[in-house]
Amino acid sequence: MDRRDFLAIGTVMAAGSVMATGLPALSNTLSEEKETTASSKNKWGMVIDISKCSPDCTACVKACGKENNVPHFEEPELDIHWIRKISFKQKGVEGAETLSMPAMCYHCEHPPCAHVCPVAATFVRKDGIVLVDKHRCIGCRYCMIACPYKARSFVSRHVEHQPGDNPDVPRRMHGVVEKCTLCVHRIDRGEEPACVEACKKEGGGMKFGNFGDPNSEVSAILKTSRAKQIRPDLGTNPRIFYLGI
Amino acid sequence: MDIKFQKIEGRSKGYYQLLVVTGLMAALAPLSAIYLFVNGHHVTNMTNQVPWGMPIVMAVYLIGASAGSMVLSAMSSVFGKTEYKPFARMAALLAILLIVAALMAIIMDWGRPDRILVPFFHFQPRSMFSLNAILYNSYMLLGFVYLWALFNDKVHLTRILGLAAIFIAVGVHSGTGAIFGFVYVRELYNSPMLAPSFIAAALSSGTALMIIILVYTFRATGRYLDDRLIHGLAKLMGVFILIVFYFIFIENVTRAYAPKNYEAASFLLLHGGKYTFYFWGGLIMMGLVIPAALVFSPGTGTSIKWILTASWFQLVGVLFERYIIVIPAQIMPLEFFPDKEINSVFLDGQYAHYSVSLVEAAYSIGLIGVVLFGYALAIKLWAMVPTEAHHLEPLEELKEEEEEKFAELEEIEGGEPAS
Amino acid sequence: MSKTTGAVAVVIFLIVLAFPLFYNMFSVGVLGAASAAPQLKIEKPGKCIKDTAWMRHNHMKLLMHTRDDVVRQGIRKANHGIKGCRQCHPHRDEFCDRCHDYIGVDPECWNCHYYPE
Repeated sequence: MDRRDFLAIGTVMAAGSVMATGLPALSNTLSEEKETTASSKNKWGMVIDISKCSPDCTACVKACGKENNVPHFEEPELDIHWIRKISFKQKGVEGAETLSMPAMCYHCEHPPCAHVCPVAATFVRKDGIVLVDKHRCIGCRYCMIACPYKARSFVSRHVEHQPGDNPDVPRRMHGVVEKCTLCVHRIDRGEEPACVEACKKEGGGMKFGNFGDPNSEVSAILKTSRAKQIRPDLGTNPRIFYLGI
Repeated sequence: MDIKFQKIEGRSKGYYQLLVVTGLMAALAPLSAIYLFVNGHHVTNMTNQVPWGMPIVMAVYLIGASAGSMVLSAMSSVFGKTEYKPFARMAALLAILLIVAALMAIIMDWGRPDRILVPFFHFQPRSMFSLNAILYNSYMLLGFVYLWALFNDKVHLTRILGLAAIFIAVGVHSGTGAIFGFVYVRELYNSPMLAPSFIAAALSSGTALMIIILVYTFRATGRYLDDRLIHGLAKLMGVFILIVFYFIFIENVTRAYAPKNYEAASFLLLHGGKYTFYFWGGLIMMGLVIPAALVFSPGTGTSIKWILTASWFQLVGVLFERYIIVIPAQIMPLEFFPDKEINSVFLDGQYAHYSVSLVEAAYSIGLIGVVLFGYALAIKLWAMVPTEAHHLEPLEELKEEEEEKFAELEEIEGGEPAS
Repeated sequence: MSKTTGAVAVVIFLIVLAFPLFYNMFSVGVLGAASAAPQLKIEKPGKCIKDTAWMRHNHMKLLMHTRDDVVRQGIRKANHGIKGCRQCHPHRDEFCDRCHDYIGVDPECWNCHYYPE
């Protein structure tokens, strides 16, 4: 057969596949490194002492919902949760005590969600916060499948801007996945996440801090060897620790 | 052996009826997709507990059938099974239609399908979806070029492309299995067996589809189809079915062996309600036992009617298999503490619920319609179907021709009239 | 179809295709389209972060750049984002919407981002 035909077709196909994904991706990696306020010296995280966590208290949940304009659909299966209270008790034990703890995105060091996102919409910022770039999210929901902690919610209904909205945080249009952002907009201003602030007001056990700073309160708690992660066996290395679980 | 391909006449009432029916089916696909995009996913039964539903099941099903068809098409040029050469174009056509429908299935299920160009500009090497985007697209492109090569009788190119097609089909399908197999969080997903078992099921469902399409096409057009070709394909399907069964057996037994997986394994195999029924009734009975029994038993294995029945069971059974792969793993709750029960307003610790909604059913029917409508149209527009499909291999055919010639010569020389 | 019919069909097609152009030209008077151009109401006249001509051509690039800087790198340069625009241009229907409605380009920013009308 015609060698020219073969070469021509082969080149076209190879070029087509490469250009379709290769060149644009290359241009992304070649863009310059910029000076950033979110530096890798910081490792934001939390330590939550659940011995102070009351089963009836949902201050953290309410504060988060208000701060981040989290929509409420009143449909348990579709409802969006950035943070929620989990009640737990020992399996198979009669009359076991029910304990309570808040659970949110754990901002893992090795986040399975970021690994599986086809467009890198979910990414780890240099200071360890795992974020969803809603401008890029295509809504494929692979991250929701991959997350071990059920931290993510798909926005399945569009909700318009409401009068009482927090203008600092954009509402999300339907079709993307969202989750706890560790109130990154507040952290960048030097404040604490809304849940931690509300919890402190109620005398609860949430503490926010910088694990990258060896002198911080949260680092000191880690040194006691009593802080635990959820499902450490998975190797995701979450940045939210618990005391008393 | 010279195979002549010819466009079907396509002027009968039956053909136009077929076009109308499949066309209406196909119209359901964009209609349901638009409805889904405009209203948001709350119109389906996909939830925050079960983010992937019927659309993804259909997507992996169609990808499987596509890879199977492509391998069948390439078999004649790559593995020297020249008796399947008559089907090469039809199989390649089906492979293309199926992957196009699969890509539609995936993209229309996204929350933001209008961002379709985004995956082309942002590549994530660790994401199976991203790798698959490259694989599926190159596979589709290859399919088109391969079909072009078949049409233009470029024998050498066909062989090379056929080989490439088989490699990419294996890649495409391993990639699809790996989407689930790499998810280490869910016990019913995390398995190295998912990629190979996907390929096996792709081959078996692709063969089943090929048998059905071949028999009905040749019957409807009144063209000759040698039964032995279908017998051969049926045996092939039977072998693939046995491989699928082996993989599924090993996967489930290995999983069930570990105490930490007792709950997951018993959910799927014993306590899962409708999922257990789908597993045993759908996957095992319809997808494995019945087709294998029909194909391998001497009474039914050579009857076209029973082979067709076996193929239908296989086709539906593999759909159940894909469903069993995708859904139950999401139904099972994620564990925060292996030794503690959890509960929350976010339905933590609870088994989820999923059933196919009307929108998703319309969507799935639409996708099948796209494939069938495309096929029905293509065989009229282009010469895809051979005028006749014989079974004889070239060497055998030559031998028989020679023997016939000798017999004739002998009769003439012997002075006896040729009868 | 004969050649004349074909030619007539093409001419009709081109007329229908160009209809919006003619309509705009003649509804505001020929060359009057310039006077129908949108007038922006600037609440706080003064110095923007870049000059008007640059902004007119490049504000979308600036916003996208800022967006990636903020979301991916956490670089929040003062006044470079939508909140910054709102300081001097607090109402969308007096500012962004004026031009965008006129030329019919709908950025989907406002589905999510807060910019009161």
